[in-house]
Amino acid sequence: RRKMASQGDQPMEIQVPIAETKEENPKGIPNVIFIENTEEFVSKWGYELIMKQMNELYSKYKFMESKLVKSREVMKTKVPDIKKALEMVEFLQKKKESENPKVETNFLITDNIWAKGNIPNETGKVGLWLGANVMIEYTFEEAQQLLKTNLTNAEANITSLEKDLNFLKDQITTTEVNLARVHNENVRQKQAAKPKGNQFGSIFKYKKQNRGKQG
Amino acid sequence: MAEDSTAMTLEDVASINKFSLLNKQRHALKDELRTKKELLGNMQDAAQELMLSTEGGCVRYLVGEMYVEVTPEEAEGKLEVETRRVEDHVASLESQLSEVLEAITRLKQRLYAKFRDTINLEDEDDK
Repeated sequence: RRKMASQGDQPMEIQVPIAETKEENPKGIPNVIFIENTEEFVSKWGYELIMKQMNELYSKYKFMESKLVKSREVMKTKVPDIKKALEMVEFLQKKKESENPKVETNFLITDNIWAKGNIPNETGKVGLWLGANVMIEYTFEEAQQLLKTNLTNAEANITSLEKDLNFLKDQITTTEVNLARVHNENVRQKQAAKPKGNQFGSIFKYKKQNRGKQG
Repeated sequence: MAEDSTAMTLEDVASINKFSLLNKQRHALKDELRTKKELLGNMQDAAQELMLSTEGGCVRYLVGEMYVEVTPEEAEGKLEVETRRVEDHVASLESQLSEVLEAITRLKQRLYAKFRDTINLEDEDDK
């Protein structure tokens, strides 16, 4: 009898059909299969094997969920920053077009310390911080365009992440239902398989036998 | 113990999943509503303060992350525009929330009818 070479000494584990990957699934996340007939399923595949693989699947889903939640939170913090930058650029532009383009401001140096500043606002340009120690000068229009694009992208990312999270939540809930039902089925089968002719059993077993259908 | 009270179809699971999703939305909407209502309260307080204090010719108004010196009239105008925007957002959130609550009630009826007390659809921090 040949052993599977890649698995060393262990024969390859039978894969219980608990999930399937469909093409349209976001990020290739597998669909969990709802076990409709638990009795048949547990009898066919065995309680231990099913629970082991189902729990593994569950852990993978939960792990993926926490990753996506983290990504979404990062995206969500970007949105107000972009909106504030847009606000400032729009304000500066409006001021430049008015009769008094000068802007007097108080800006934050550090916590609770503000400094007065005067913005002559003659250039019609702003510098945008792009990250990685890079700042680039843009005209008001260019800056607004860039910021609006970034905002749209960030919001689209958030929507897409929410969609993935909803899909994942469905798989997680269905897996939880599977786990509960398989567990209950196992309890039920164990009770049904208890030896019936045991006269020295506990009172509980005795009562159960009396409630049973056959002698 | 021959009766299997946990007979469940694919449709039932779909209903349970839908309920789970709706509940998640409910929490998210409630949280956002709470923050936005607080913001609205602050804006209304600020509007009051503006009206009461007419000292000097300049009000420092927050634009982005810096304070800009504007006349009281400009400040009032900007505040009004922003307040209206937040009010509209709150109204839309509230209508979304009531839709979600309605859907939840309908689903609860259906699920309780089928599963009675073998299912628990209540939230610990339900208000």
